[in-house]
Amino acid sequence: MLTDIFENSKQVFLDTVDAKDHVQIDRFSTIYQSLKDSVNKPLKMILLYGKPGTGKSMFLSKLYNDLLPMKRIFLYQNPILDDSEFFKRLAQDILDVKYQGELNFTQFMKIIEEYSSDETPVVLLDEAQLYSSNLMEKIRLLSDTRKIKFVITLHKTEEEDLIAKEHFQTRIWDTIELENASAEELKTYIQKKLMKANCFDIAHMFKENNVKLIHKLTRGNYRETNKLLYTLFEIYLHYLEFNPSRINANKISNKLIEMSAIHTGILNA
Amino acid sequence: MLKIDDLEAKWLRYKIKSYTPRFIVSFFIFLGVLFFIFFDLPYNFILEKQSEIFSDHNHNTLAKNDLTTLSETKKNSDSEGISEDVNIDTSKKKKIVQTHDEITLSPSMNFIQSIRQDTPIYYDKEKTNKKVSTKSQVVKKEAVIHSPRIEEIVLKTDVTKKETSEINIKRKNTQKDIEDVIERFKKSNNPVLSLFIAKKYYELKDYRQAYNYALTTNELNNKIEDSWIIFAKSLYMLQGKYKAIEILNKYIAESNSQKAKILLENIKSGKLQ
Repeated sequence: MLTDIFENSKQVFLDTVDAKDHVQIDRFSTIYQSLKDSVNKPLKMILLYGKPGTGKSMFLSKLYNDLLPMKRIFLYQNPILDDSEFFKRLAQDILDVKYQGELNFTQFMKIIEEYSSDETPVVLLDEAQLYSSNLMEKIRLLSDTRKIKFVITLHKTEEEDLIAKEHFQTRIWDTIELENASAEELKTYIQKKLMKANCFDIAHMFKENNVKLIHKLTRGNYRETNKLLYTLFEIYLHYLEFNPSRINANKISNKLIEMSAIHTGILNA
Repeated sequence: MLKIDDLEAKWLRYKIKSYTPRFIVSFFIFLGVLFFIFFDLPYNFILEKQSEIFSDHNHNTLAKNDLTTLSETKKNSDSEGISEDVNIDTSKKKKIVQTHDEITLSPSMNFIQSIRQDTPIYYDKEKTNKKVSTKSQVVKKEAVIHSPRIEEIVLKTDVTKKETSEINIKRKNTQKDIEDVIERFKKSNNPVLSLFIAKKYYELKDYRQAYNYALTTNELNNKIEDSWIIFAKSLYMLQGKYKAIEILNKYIAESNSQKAKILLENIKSGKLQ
């Protein structure tokens, strides 16, 4: 019984990008609403940026799921790095045309300029820092036609700071930054995530000092938190199976949190 | 697969490692306390003993001196009469003062230096003039200078310090101050006033108002460098980092402003708080 509860809790923190796993936090709701509003505005490009693990992909996924019934929206979670493949995919999604051979930018521009629709299709590009600057330049030119609207996510790193380039700055009409969680937000995140999976007892086992330690270790990064808690429940399961007398199953142990941090490489022992 | 034993051993190592600095610090604090207890207290005890011995010794010398002076006075009064008794009394006093010099801590004259530093130059000049004129008197009276005088002087220096600290004018940037300037600006439409308001609002962390007034200033006169700077800074504070960068780039291209370049660098590097 207890093993099942811990097993369920472990699965809750499996690091996946699924809009259904999205947890409602006040700050998330505000940011998400502003992102939704931006998509409905006549803007060419919207930039969603933040450090890795701050929930950019999750936001994009949720936006895609929410707007899919109402809008022509396409989500490219994995970057298409080849130019021709990228334009062929766009042509297929937006124009419903399947190209067999090569499709270069000039050809695609010609097609897209002739294309007219009542509604501007929205393309969500995740991990845009992986696209070459050359392809990004072409995406910018495409957005200038106002025939396609792009929402792009970028990692906030100095080397990959594409938006620093002047030509790009002028095209990005709205920027939304995602940040790591505060200790309070992290507590809400952990508890809501567990409660969503009906792990109420485990959710209440996380006390202030546990969350503070988790926040200190992960700096409020959601991905790191998921990783840490997944390992934590794995350790609990191990103890339950082999040495149940060594753990107190009624409260979360800071020792086990630190052990998880060591195992995941967050702490250097 | 988890290797719990390994993990536990690593955790133990981590704990030892994390507690080591704390242990070292507390060990040194403990050593310090020990040092204080075993070395400082006996030292104070020795000092007390020494002072006791000194005071006993001085009492003896004082008594001896008193005795010798008394015997001398007796002898002198017998031979030279009462008029010379007065002289002997003064010599007795001198001796007592001398013995006091040996016992008591002599006053430090360093305070004169500090007074000199505190007082303006023209006072100093007066003092030096006076000193020159009364130098011989001072030399004569040097032995008679008593500690109460020093206390008086020290008090005076304290008073001068207090006076200087009271001179500081405290200015409060209240909302009312700004409102007064806003009223003046409404009447005159002077960009200097609007820039002032923008700066004050920025200082008060009302970045939206700072942004508005910087923009107003810029509309009235777009050559004022500070209006660009406050505008960009407010924009940055209102989460418009990239807009702020864009604006600064445009302004730098036009004016080559050094101030704008520094601000741009600070914004890019995230140094602007």
